[in-house]
Amino acid sequence: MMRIEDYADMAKIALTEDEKKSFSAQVNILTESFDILKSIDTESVKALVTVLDIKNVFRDDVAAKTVPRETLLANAPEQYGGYFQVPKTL
Amino acid sequence: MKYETVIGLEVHVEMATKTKLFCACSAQFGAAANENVCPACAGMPGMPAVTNKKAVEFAIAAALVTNSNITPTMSFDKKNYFYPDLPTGYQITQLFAPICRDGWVEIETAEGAKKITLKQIHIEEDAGKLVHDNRIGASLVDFNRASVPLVEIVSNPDFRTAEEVVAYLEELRLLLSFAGISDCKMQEGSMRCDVNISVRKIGDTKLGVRTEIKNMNSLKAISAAIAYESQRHMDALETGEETLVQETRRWDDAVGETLSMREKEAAADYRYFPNPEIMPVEIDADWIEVVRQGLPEPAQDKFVRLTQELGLSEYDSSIITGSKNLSDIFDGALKHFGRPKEVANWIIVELLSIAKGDNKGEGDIEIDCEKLAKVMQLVDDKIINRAMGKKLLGLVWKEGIDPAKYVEENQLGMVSDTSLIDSTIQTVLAEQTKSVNEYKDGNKKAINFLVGQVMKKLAGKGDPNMVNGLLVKYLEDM
Repeated sequence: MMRIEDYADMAKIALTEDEKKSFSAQVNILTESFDILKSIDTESVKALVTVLDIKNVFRDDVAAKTVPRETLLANAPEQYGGYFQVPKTL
Repeated sequence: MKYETVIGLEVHVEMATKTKLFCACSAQFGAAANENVCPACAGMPGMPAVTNKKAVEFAIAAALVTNSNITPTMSFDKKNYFYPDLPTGYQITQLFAPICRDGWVEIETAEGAKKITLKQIHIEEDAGKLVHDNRIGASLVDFNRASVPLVEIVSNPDFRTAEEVVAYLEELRLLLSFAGISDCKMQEGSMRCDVNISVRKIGDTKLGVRTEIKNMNSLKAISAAIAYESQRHMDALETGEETLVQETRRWDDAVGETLSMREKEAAADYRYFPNPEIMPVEIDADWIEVVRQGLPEPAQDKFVRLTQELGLSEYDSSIITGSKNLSDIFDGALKHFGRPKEVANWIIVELLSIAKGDNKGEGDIEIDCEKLAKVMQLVDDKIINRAMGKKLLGLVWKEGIDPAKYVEENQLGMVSDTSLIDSTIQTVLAEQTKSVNEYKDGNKKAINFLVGQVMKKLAGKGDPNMVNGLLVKYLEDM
């Protein structure tokens, strides 16, 4: 059984005590619903990857340039010398 | 020995496609930061992923050369985790229906031949690259590598020694590079390896605690890391001083140790689920056959052809077919200079030594094969001698000169004026009385020095065989 803190960790969000209580209740309803789904016998049912009955959609291996780098970086909160800048990870 | 080491490998190989796995951005290595990035591979919302057909075909080829069972309908899944080098928050990979399963690769070590079985091969996208810049106290992200297609080849825990691991990686490199799937350059990261290792008492059927050493990219480091890590496990089992935990470790090459990466205690939960945005891929027998027909000659077949049809020695053939790049250079030069033995000899003796002087390995050599052939032709036609040929090849390597033109412009052709050669020999014989006397006293090797002196006076442009012959004649007459 996962605790609400585990979900918060995984989603990389911080929760207040009040939020933990309120989300716990909601998440429990969700997991209970999935437990019901899990109880259904799906042994003979093939897994569905997509609802579309389409297969083999391909692109040829030909390079194309879509947007210039400046455009790509334009919405980045921080950038540096052509890179996206993020908080130090090391 | 009481213990045995059990090793399994996950090998990531960058496929040699021109573009990325799900968008048309160039997949080329070495571009300026974020130059080959579009909204799709930068993880902007709403961008459709469309599968690169060539990547699927390379993966089919990988399945074929590893004797694997191809999945009739494969699909892609999402592996969810947060890291700045993964802009979408999930990696597109294959868990539920990978391209193939249950293959095998045969390796050869001092212990004999052994079949290494494969659990599966799956297609996945690479992540971006993080650069850590201390001056600005931040990390920088380059998404050029994001979504570059990889195949991950997952072996079963069939290895018992580092030698087997190295033999397997070399065999994989040959299989994949000769099939054109990847250049498999470990130092450039187009082939990387995660090593899963555990130790158990001989006779035990249960595996010991497993640790994983991530992102290894040299055979030397892999061998050293396996030696270190298996010893660490054995010490822990023997003395009980250290408790082994299942964890990811990193190899520190400078210190020669593996270090815990101290991941948080909760095991990573990647919440794999099918990716409904990418249509499944049906691979029928016809398609597999087309890929099979298109496979280039494998290294083993080429080795046999070079020894049996082209008359190369086993030694020369093994060097030429030990590297896809050398093999391509051999084919390229042979097209312009049709004497296989000489082509192999020039590549192995001269080209490799020039490359080594520049710290380039067999896989990194770039040479114009037509110019290489031209140098051989000039020597063969006795327009220049072999030493001059080697010098020219060095210039082709460094500056890309046109050999024939260069010889003409710098008048490097061998001296054909016999009277000049005669008079030069006479001068040297008169000057070098010491060596002449040594020769006359029975030291036949003294002639080498005299040949060298004549060649020097002819500015390296004499025919050493001819000079040698004339010198012998004069010395015997003296």
